[in-house]
Amino acid sequence: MNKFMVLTSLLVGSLFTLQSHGAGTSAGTTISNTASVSYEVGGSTITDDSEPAVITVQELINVTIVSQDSGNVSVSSPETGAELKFQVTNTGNGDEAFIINQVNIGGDEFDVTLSTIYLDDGDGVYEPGTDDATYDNSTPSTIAPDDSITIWVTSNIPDARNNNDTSEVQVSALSKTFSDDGQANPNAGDVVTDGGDSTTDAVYGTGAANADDTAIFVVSAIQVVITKVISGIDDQLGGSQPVPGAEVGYSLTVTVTGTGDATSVTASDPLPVELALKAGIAGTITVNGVDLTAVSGDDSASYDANTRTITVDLGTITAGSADSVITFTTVIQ
Amino acid sequence: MTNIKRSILKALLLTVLPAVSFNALAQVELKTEMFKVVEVQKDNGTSKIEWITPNNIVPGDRVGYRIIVENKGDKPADDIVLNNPVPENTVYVDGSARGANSSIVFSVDKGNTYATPEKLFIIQNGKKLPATAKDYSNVRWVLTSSLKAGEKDSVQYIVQVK
Repeated sequence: MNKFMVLTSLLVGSLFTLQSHGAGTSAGTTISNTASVSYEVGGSTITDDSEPAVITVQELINVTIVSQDSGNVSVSSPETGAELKFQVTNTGNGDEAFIINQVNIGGDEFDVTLSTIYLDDGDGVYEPGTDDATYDNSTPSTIAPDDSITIWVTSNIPDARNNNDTSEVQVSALSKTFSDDGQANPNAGDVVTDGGDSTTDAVYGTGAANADDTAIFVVSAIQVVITKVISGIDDQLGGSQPVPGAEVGYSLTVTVTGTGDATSVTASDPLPVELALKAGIAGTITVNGVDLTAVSGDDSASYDANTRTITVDLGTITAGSADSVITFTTVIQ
Repeated sequence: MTNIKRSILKALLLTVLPAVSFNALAQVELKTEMFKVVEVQKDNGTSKIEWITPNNIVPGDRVGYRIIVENKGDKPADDIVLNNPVPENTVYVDGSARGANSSIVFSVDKGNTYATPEKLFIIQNGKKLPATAKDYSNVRWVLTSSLKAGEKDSVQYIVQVK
């Protein structure tokens, strides 16, 4: 390296913090560069081109895996098939599939028994074995550059754990190209010759080298679950079309499982702007078969016409007791 | 001479003649070399930039181009101007163009006009904004001295693959 090159090196050094965005130029794309010159000799101007310098962009293997659960995931002890949600994104520049692995992390109160991984069918709802197929690491689905898949990683929670005990689980994604090549722990810059798209080489990226994330299960001795279903639609015309003016009945079910008492249980349902409680604050909210008024302050049910929010104070519920059922009728605006 | 023979001769003259006159004058030879520009960590904790064989170029990598001009004729070549469009799927790396004995200018309009960086502007949403390195479409080196017979010079710049 001559002096000129050393000078260049020093000046360019600080520019290396720049990052490219997105998946980048597709694997197999050629980058061609032709320089031209013009000059004068004996009064004539002459122009010429260089031979093109051609580079083929190789396949960069990069991936991110990110937990989609907000905070710790509450589970019972024991519990079968407790699920964690992760998103896997191909941030490389070619099609690639990934092997998903899950391990218990130490330093917490207990380990889980790692169970099946499911591939979400696209709706983001956990439907094991029905809509969501088992994620098969021998034939994992190919992800296009910049595309994502959602996976459900399930575990069995052991018996006799205490309240607030935690278990951390790490989920990682390994490039199938490198796995098939026998490189189970590749480093950034490692290569699988001819392993890329369009007969390019596959090059392991810095992102792929750190493609893992963790999520934490926390044992909750008592769990409160609320579900909401539409009980019926009456369009006031003898049918059941959800048209303006139609009445839509809803049913909220609150279930408490585990052991102990859940105190100060409050069910709250903010209706969308398209709906309002029938008759507003003069309406009725039925709790466990008893009609209560929607007006605030006289009983445990109320309706706020400004925020269109229905609130029912259910008080203390003992785990395992009968479900609490709240029904009300809304009108499409 | 038949019509066919005549048209063949005409075609030969058309293709051969310009090439002959071109070769007689073309004495400056132009060559583009390419490299992968990498940062190498040294044991003492510092790093240095090296230009290496361009293997396994992937998005985000830097590619260095060195353009070599050599006067292979027997007369001096004057007013040498080198021009290099920034290749598709790459962006010019700010401050990377080098060339001893040359003034370096850039274009943001595919080579219609050239200026030094502080005089380059782009129009974005109807507003005139100072151009940045990613807007550059061409790099031009205007050599400040003649290249005598047998002399060689080189310029260089770096792009980043998108």
